[in-house]
Amino acid sequence: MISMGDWINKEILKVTAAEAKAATPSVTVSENLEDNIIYFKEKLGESFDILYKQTFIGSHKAVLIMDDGMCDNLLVTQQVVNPIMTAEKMPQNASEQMAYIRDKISSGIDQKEEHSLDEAIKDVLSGLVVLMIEGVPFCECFGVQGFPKRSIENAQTEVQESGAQEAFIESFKDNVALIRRRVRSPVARFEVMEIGKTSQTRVCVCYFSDRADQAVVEAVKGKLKKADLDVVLGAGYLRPFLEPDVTTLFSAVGSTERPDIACAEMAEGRVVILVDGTPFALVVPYLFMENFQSLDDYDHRPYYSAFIRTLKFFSFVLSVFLPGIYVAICTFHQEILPASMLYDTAVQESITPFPVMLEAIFIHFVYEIVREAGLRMPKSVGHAVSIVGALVIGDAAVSAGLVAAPMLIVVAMTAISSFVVSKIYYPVSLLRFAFMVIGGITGFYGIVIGFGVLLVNMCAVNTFGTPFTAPFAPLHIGAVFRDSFLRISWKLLGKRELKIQSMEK
Amino acid sequence: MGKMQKIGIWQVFSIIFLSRLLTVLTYTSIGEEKMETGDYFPSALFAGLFILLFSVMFFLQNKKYPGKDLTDIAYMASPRFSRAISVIYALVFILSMMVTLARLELFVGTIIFPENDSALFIIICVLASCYAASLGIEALGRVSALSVMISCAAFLFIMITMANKIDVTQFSPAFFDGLAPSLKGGLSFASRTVEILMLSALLPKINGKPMWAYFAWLTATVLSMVSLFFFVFGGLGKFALTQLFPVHSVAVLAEVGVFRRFDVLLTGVWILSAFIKISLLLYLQAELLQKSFKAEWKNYYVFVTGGLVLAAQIFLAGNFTDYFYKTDYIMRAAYFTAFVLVLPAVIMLCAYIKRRKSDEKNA
Repeated sequence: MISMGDWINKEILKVTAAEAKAATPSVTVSENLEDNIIYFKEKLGESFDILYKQTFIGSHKAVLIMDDGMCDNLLVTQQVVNPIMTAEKMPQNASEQMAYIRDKISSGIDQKEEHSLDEAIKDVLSGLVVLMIEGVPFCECFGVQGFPKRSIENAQTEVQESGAQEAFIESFKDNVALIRRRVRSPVARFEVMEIGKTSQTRVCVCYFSDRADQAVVEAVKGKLKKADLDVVLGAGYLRPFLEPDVTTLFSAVGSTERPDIACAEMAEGRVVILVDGTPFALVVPYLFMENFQSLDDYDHRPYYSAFIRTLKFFSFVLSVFLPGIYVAICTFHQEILPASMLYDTAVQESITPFPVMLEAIFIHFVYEIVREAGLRMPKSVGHAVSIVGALVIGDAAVSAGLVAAPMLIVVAMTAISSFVVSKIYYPVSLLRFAFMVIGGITGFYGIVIGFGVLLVNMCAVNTFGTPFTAPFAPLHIGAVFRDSFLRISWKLLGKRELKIQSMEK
Repeated sequence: MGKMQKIGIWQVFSIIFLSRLLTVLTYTSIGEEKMETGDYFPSALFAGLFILLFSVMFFLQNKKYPGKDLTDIAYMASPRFSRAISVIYALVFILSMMVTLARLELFVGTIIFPENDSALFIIICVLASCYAASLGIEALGRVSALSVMISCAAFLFIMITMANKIDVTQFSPAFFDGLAPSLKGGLSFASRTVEILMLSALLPKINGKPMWAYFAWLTATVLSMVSLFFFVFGGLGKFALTQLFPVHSVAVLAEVGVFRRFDVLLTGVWILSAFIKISLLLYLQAELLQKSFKAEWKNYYVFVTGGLVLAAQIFLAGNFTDYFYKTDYIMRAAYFTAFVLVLPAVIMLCAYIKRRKSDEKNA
């Protein structure tokens, strides 16, 4: 195994070189106010949402610049404009005026001094108000953000029976607050960076400083900085940059919409990445086993959690292999079926016009179309699509003798099973088609080879130095019995924290 | 060049155990020395002893040159010698791969698809193995560790489901014709143990003490042979000796309630083991070839050798390697001894002489 340290060092060196290459000198704030305004207008153009409020503070010309849609107008008035305009003891000297406004007048906490015009432009676009005064070689930025946003709602894709229901929203700061509210500890760190040449999207790397491997944190930051993108509109844009080198169908970058899960991941030494404008957080390193875990498992009693996790794994196996095995049995290994079952299946399949493999591919393809249509349509219409797909087409296809009834049962079982492990629905649906083809051509033994290839591919993946298939391959007995298919009681689980680094072997 | 991939003891054990399991599963008594059914049990124990004997040079290699494979030791004598040794052992692994593939094709052609051409299946198997080999020993080690667990579970299931078919009266007394048949049988089993060479080649990549893996593997090998013989001859009696693949024939008897024909499970394990063994052999030969030729071409060695072996299997002579292995057990043991005992002894002797000479020079 390539040692973690070597790999990280290599990555960091690459990133540092790229940074040095990309660094360009920044334009500083001029004492001449007009020059500053011209620079702003040059850079921002005639955008209607950028407001320039020119005024006088004492005898000096001044300007307040803000993005109308990104600021809370009430806050701007209360915290910036009103106090400045009504100030009674404003000094005469321009620099002293700026200091007076900063220290004595403005009531906001979120404010900073900025010397770079480019940074000031970024601040305006992020919802800050920038104040510049003639003769002062820097500007003052006031945090008065107030852009329209969705309120915090229930989680949609990671539904939990008990416990918190809150989910992340698009607002970056609110998402950080959702995590911070759950972990009021100084070890929780939130480091912000900007990615995307044009969009300059804020990305926050969150971790627990006492648990996360600093080398992994640096590697994550390094990989994110290397993301050579123009626009970043969602976390999905960054996912490929965090994926390991070995190409695999399953993603080694997790995602969650729940702040409590994000906290749990951080508590295990993982790094969580929040992207501005995305109601999902990315999680690295992410293991295959985590696709079968949910927060509910930790609320139930351990034996029930073990049962549920095993059930999920069984559902995964069914959803990937069942159609392929059915095709293989019908085509090559009929002897496996009990006599009565064989007879019934043979009668049903004999009246259909297509070979079993084509029939299976066709009906699964139809199912995927119905599913996709139901997903993209408005909810009310979506239900109708599902009913038409499931009842009308399915029933009619069997009655017309186009599809055998056992095949329809297989499709239904596969579909329901795949929803049990919804986190990996997409790779599972692709694998299902692959195994149907393999089963139809080479039978069960081809499926075994396909399974071997899938396994070896997954086993070759290392995500930030941790094997993707841990704790099973390489075998980590402690972790297997602690929190994999089995889960020990909280009395024991809480005694010693399990860090992701302990899986490196 | 990337840092060397390493595998743990459990993975080493798994990888060589699966490889050996395949040899045990594909055992055929046809063309072998005739034995009474009761003689098979002592022959398994004798096989264990012979394997120990064949491993003498491996023990020496591990003790005197820990963490070094034979080509590394040969390099101490001369770089050219090391290159020659790499090529020789690469050819040994390629031959072993051809034998494995030939047996697989024989099985596929006679049992799985008796009415169809088995070529497509073999092509898929080799391509899959090439891909697996190209991913490296770490991935192979991990997948072997998982596969061992799956295989053991499948075996246990089959054994439980056919336990009521075992008839102990079918065993003939051991040593009925004296000690010789069991000894010959033991030598015949042991002379198929390419795993000693695999272990020797894997030495630099092992994290931990290789001897643990070796002795665990030896014990598991003997136990698996004994248990398989028990089920094969307990289930089929002397009829097993007439079967091309007796382990498969006995698995056909397994049934639970209305469900039967669990041989498909056993065959699945068989195919999985073959896939891993071929992948490992492809990987090892590529590792050796890159020491003789260009190191950057490692993946080409995997795919080119895979293609050549496949072509030989399909176009030249389907089962020629199988016939080769069906030759007299003395011939096979001699061939095996040459590569497991004699050549390593020569290599270590050359390295020793070279070191002595250089010590004398320095003195």
